[in-house]
Amino acid sequence: MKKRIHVMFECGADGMPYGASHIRLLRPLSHPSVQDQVSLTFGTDLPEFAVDLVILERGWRHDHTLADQARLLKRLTLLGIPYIYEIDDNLLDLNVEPGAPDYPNSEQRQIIIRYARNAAGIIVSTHALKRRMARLNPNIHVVGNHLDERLFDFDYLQRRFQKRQEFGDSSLVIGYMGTYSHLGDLLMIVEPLRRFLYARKDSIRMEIVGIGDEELVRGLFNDLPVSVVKVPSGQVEYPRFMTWMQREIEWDFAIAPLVASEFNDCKSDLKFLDYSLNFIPGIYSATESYIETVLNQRNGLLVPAESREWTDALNLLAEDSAFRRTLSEEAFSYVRESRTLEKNAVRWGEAIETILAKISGSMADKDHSLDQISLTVTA
Amino acid sequence: MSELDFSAALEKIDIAPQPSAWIGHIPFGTWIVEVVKPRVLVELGTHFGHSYFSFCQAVERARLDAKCYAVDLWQGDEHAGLYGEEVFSDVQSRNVQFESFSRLLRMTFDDAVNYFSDGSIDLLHIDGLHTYEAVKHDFESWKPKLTQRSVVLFHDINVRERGFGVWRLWEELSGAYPTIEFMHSHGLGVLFYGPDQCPATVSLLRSFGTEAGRSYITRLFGGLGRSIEIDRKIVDLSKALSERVEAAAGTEEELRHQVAARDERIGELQAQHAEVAARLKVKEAQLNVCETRVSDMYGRLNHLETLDELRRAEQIKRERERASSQLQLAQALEREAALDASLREVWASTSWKVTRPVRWAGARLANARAVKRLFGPASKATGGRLRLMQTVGKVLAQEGISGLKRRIVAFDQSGYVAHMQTEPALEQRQTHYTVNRHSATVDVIVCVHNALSDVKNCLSSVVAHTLPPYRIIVVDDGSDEDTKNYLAEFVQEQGGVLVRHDIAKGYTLAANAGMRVSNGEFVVLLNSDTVVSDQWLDRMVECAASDPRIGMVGPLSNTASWQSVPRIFDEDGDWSSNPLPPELTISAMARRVAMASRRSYPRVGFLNGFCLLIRREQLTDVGLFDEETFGKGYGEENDLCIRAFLKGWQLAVADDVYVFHAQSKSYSTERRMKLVKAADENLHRKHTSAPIMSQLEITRYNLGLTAARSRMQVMDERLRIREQIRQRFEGKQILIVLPIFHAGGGANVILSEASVLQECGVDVVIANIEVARASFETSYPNCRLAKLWLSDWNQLSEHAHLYDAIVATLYLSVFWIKAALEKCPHKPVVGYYIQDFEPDFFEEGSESYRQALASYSEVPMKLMTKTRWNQRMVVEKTGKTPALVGPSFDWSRFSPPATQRSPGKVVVCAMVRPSTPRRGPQMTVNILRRLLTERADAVQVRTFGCVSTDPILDSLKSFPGYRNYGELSSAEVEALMRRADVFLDLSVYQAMGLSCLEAMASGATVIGPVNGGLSEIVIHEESGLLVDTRDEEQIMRACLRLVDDFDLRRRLGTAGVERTSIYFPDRSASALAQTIFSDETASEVCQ
Repeated sequence: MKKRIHVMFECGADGMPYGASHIRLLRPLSHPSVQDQVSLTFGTDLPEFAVDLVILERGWRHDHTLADQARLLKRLTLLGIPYIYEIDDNLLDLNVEPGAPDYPNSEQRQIIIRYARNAAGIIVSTHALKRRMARLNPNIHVVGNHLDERLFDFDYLQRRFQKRQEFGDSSLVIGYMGTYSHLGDLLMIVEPLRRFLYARKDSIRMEIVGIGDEELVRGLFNDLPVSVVKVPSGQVEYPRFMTWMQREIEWDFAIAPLVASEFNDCKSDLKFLDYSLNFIPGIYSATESYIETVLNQRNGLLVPAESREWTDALNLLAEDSAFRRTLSEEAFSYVRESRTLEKNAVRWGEAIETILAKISGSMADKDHSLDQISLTVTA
Repeated sequence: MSELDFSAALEKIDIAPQPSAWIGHIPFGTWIVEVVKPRVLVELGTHFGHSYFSFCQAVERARLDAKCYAVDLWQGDEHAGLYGEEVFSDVQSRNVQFESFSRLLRMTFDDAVNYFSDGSIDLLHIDGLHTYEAVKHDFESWKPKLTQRSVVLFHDINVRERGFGVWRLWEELSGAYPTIEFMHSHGLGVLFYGPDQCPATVSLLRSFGTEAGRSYITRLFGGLGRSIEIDRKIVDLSKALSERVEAAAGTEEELRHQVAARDERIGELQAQHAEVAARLKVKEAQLNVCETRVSDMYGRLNHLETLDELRRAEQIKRERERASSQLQLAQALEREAALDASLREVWASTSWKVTRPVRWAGARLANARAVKRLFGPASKATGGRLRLMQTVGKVLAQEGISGLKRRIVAFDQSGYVAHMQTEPALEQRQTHYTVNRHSATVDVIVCVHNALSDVKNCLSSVVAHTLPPYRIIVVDDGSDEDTKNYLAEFVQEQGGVLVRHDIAKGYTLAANAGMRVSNGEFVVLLNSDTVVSDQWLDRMVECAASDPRIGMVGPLSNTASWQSVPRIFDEDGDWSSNPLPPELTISAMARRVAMASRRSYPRVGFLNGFCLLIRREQLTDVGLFDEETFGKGYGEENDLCIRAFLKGWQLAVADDVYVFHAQSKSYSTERRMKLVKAADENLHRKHTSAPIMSQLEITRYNLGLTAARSRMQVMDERLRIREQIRQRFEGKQILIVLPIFHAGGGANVILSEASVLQECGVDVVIANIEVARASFETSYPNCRLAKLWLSDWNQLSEHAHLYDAIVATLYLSVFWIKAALEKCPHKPVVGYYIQDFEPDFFEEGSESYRQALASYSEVPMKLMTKTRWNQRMVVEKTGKTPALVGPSFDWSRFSPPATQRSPGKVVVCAMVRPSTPRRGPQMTVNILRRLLTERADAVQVRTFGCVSTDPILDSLKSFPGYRNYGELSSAEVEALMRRADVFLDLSVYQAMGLSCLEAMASGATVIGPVNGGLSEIVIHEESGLLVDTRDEEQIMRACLRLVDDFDLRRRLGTAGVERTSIYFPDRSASALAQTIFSDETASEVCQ
C-alpha cells in the first residue's frame, strides 16, 4: 500500500521551495521509481487531508517561531501523524563565531534541536552530519544527494561536450558556482586564481554563478577577466535552473574550494555531481565533503588548501585538454551510473521504512494526549 | 482531560460566505454534535445557516443517525435586521445535500413546537430573537421536548447592548443547571439538561470544574474560533483588495496626469533650489574667510600649548580657580601677544615657511573639529541653533573676530562641554553583533626588506582574509633579487602598487613613501612578518568608525608590547613572544580573541607600529613619520602616537582583532638595543619626558588591555567547558522557573548561565507569569532565551512533564513545582538553584521563615549554590549539602571603560535600596553623606536602586557632587559601573556579591562586606577592601583611603579586573547541568 507522505519544505517569504528542497525531497519522492511506494504531497503547511507521514525540512519556514513549532508539533500529535526531520547542513555550527551573521539565530537553533529531538527519526545527507546530529536523535540515517536524470538532456550535453573539444586550449572558460555564503571559500583561493588568470588573461576567462554582487567580484579581481553570470529571475527555481545551466553554462572546467570547518565538513559533494553531469571537470578541496567521491586525477582533482597546489591544479587543467576530457568522462559516467535518482530514489523509501520500523514499538507507548506540547513558549 | 478527544473540532467545515458572529463557535458546535450524537437536533433561528449547516456537516461526517430541523421564518427580526426571500432560497439550496436527514421548518417557534414529541430533542440551539423575554419564552416552551441527556446551546450570551437579553437569562440558568460558557464570538452558553449526560459531556463538565481545565478548553476553542474568523477576514480582505486593485486601475490614468503636473512643479522647485544653492555658496565663501581667521588663532594657541604642555595646564588650572572672568580675558590677551611674538620668530625660519601648506590644512581641520565639538553644547547652552547663530552674529558685529575667538575659548574652558560629556545617558551596549563589511577605502602598506618567507605568508594572508575595497601598497626597501622579483610579480598578478627603493632607506622612510602614495580613507601600516585572519580589516575599521576622534587603531597580537596576549612579559621580564601552541592555528587564536572581547576598544597612549590603522584625517592633521629625527627606524611610531595624542586624536586597540607577529629581527640584538636606546633619547629630547611618561602610564595601566589579557588566559578552559556541555547536554530540555518582574542580581546570574547553556545547544526555557511579561521584557530587552508565559503558577502542571529537568530559583517556586509534579504523568528531574539563604529574609520563626526553610527539603531535588558560605548556611540549618557551582557573572557584558580613569574627582557609586534592609541602605547613605562633606572637592557620588524622591536620599540631595539614577536596567547598571572609580556595597552580608563582581570587572575598586560569600571572591587588600559593614568608622576609613590614594585604587582595580576573569558563567552553567543530570550528585544530595 502506498505511503502518503507530505513534505513541509523549507521556504522563504515567497513560499517557494529552495533548491535543496527539490534535490533532497521533492525530486526523489516524486521519482517514478518510487511511485508504487509513495504518494507525495508537499506544501508550507499541514494538508487538509489524511497522510501517513510528514517530512519536515531544516527550519521549515523562514519566519517560524518556537510557538509556531509548538503548535505544529501539537497538531501532528493530535492527528497521530509521525514526522521525520530532514536536514542537509550543519546549521547548529553555522555562524557560531562572534560577529558572524545572525542566522540561524538562537531561536532558530532551538527550533532545529527540537525538531531533531522530537522526530520519529532524522535523515541527513552525509555521514559527518549524521555524527553531528546523532546526539539529538539516535534514529538517524544517511541518504546522500543524487541528481534527477529527468532534468538533464544528456544527448544535448554530449553533443556540446564533443563540440567543445574542437576548440582546444586557445580560449577557455573556468567557472565557479556558489552562493554568497561561500564567499570565504572563494576568498581562500583568490591569490592562486588571480595569479592564474593574470598569466593567462588572453586565453582564459572566468564566470561566477551565484555570488551576484558584481562590485564585490570586481573588487576581488580588479581588471582580470572575471564576470558574474546572473540567473534570470524566472529561472531561479531548481528545475528551471538546471535547464538554464545546461543551455547557458559552457565551462571547460570548474572549481569547488571549501574551507575546512565544522560547518563545511558536513557538506555533501553536490557540486561534484552538478559539474560532472554537465561534463565539466573540476578541482575540489581535499576536505571531508569530496575525498570519498573525487578520485584524484581520475574523475577530478583534489587539492589541499595551499596556494601553490591550487595554482598547479589550475594550470594542469588549462594546459591539457585530453586530461580534462578524461576527467569529465570519468566523472560523468560515475555520476550517471551511481548518483542519479534512477537507481537511488529507493534509498529514501528504505530510510523512511527503517525509521518507522524502529519507532513502531515505542509509538504505541507514547501518550498522544492533547497537552503534550506546550503552546505558549515564545522567544 | 486526557480522555477528551477534541480532534473533531479540527475538521474543516464548509462555511457560508455571509458574515456571522457564529463562525467562531463552529469548532465547538461540530465537536458537541459528534460527542452527543443527537437523535433529534433542532435549531431555533437559522438565518444564513452558519451554525445549522456546520451541525449538518458534523452529522454527515460522523455518519450519525440524526434528524435535524431548522426553524425560522427567514424574514429577519429587530436584531438580525429584515431581509428578503433570497436568504431562504440560499438556505434551501444548501440544504439539498443534507435533505436525507435535514428539514427546514418555515414557521414560528411556537407553531413548530407542536411538531415535536415531549422528551425527543437531544440537542437544541436557541438563536432567535435575543430579547430576554423572547429567549426565556423559547427555552420554557421547548424545555418539555428535551431528553434527559440533552444539551442546549444559547448564542449571544456576551452581548449586552441593543436590547439583547440572553445574558440575563443565562445568568439565571447558570445557577439552576450545569453549564459551561465561552465568551468569544458574542458568547456561547452550553446547558446540560437532564441527568443522563453522555460520558464526553460529563468529562467536559468535570474538566471545566478546574481552573486549568477551564482555561485550557476556553483557550483551545477560543483559539480555533479565532483562527476561523481570521481565515474569513483574510478571504474578505483579499476580495476587497481585488476590488480595490480594479478600482485603482481605473484611476491610474488620472494619477499619471497628476504625476506629470508634479514633475513640472519639481522642475520649478529645482530651479529655485539651484538659485538658493548659489546664494549659499557665496555665504559659505564668506564663512570660510571667517573660519580662516579663527583657525589662525587656534593654530597659534595649539603651538604654544605643545611647547610647554604641563606647565601651561597647571597654570591654567590655578588661574581658573583664582581669577575672575575679567582677569582671564586679560591673561588670554597677554598670552596671545606672547604667542604672536613667538610666532614671528618661527615664521622667520625656513622650515616653517616650507611646511606652511600642511599646517594650514591641519589648522583648518583642527578648527573644523573644534567647531563640530562645541557646536552642539553651545546650541544647547544658548537655547538652540538659531539663537546661537544670532549670538555669533551679534558678537561679530560688536567685538569682531577676536572677540568671537575669545568667547569660544572661554566657553571651551568653562567646563560646560566637559560636564556634558561626563554625564551622558547610560547607554546600553549590545552583546550580540554582526561585523559589517567595511565600505571605506583602505590602503594596506607593507614595507619589505628581504625575509621572503615571512613576506609571502603575510601577503597571502592579506589576500585570503581581506574583502574589498582595499589596495595593497608594497614598499620594497632595497630587498635582494629573490624578494624583489617576487614582489614585482606579486603586484602584477594580485594588483596593487609597488614602490621600490633600490637602496634600503629604513622603515621610517619606506613607510612614509607608502603613505605618500596612498589615498584611501584609511591606511594600514602592516609589518611584513605578520599574518592576518578573517575579518581583521572589517573589525579594525569598525573600531575606528566607532568614534570619529579615533585617529589610530592597533590590534592585539602574540607579541606587540602592551598589545600582547595572553601575556606581556615572559619569565625573564622581556616582552613575551606568546608562541601559539602547535595545535592552535592563527585563525583559531583570532576567533578566541574575538570571543573574549567585549569590543570596548581601550584607548591607549601608545600603539605598536607592527599593524597600525591610521585615519586619513589624522594623517593630514599630524603628518607622516618624522624622518629627520627617526630616520633610522625605532621610535618613529611612538613619536607619531605622541603627536597625534597632543593634537587630540585618540589611539584605540581593536580588542577583537588578533594579528600574528612573527617578529623577525632585521638587526642583531646588540645593534637593536643601541638603536632603541638612541630612539628613546631622541623621543625624550623632542617631546620632553612628561608627555611620554603620561602616555606610557595610560598604556601600561590600561584596564581594557588588562581585561583582554586575563580573559585570554582562561579561554582554553572556557572552550573546553563549552565543548563538554555540548557533548553531554545538547538537546536536554530545562525549564527554569524564574518568578521576577524586574532586573535583579539573581536573575542576571541565571539568565547569563542559561544563555551559555543555550549557546551550547541545551534547550533552556525561562518560565514566568504573564503579568510580569511587560516589565521583564523592559528589564531584559536583549534576552534571547525562550520564555514560557503562564497565566498563573498553577499552569505549570501543564508544561512540567515536557522537560527533562525543572529548576526552582526562589523558595516559593519549589512549592509551585511540587504542586505541578503531583499532576504530572512524567516527572522531570528537579533542581533548586539557591542564590541566598532565603529564610534569613524573614523574621526567624515567622511563617515565611519556616516556609523558606522547608523549601530545601520539600521535594526530592538536586540542590546547588554559588558560594561555600551559602553552602555552609544550608548545611547548618537543614543538613542538606548543595552542590557548589561557583560564583559567576555575565562575563560578556561587564568590562572596563574604553578610556582611562583619571586622577581627578573620584566617582563613588552605590546601590541604595530602602526596601531591602539587609542591603544596609541607611549605612550607605550615611557614608556617602560623610564623603560628600569631608571630601567635597575630591568626590562625586552616584546612587541607584530607588527613585530620587525617596526620603532616604534627602540628606544627599543638596550636594552638588551627587546624582541618583533611580531604578536601572541591567544594561544601565553596566554603563554606570564603567563610570565608577569606587563601588560601595554595605550589605549586612552578601551570599555572593554580584554587584561587586560586576563593578570589579568594570574596573572599579570595591568595598564590600566581610560577612558572607564575597570574601571568596575579593581578596582583602589585593583585589578590593572587605569591611565590617556594621562599623561606620571602619567603612569610612576604607573609603577615605581609596579616595585619597590613587595608586591604591589603581592597584586594587587592576587586580580586580584580573580576578574577575575566572568567574565566567560557562563553568557555573556546566556545573548546573552536571548537578541536575548527574545521578551521583543526586544520591549525594538526597542523603
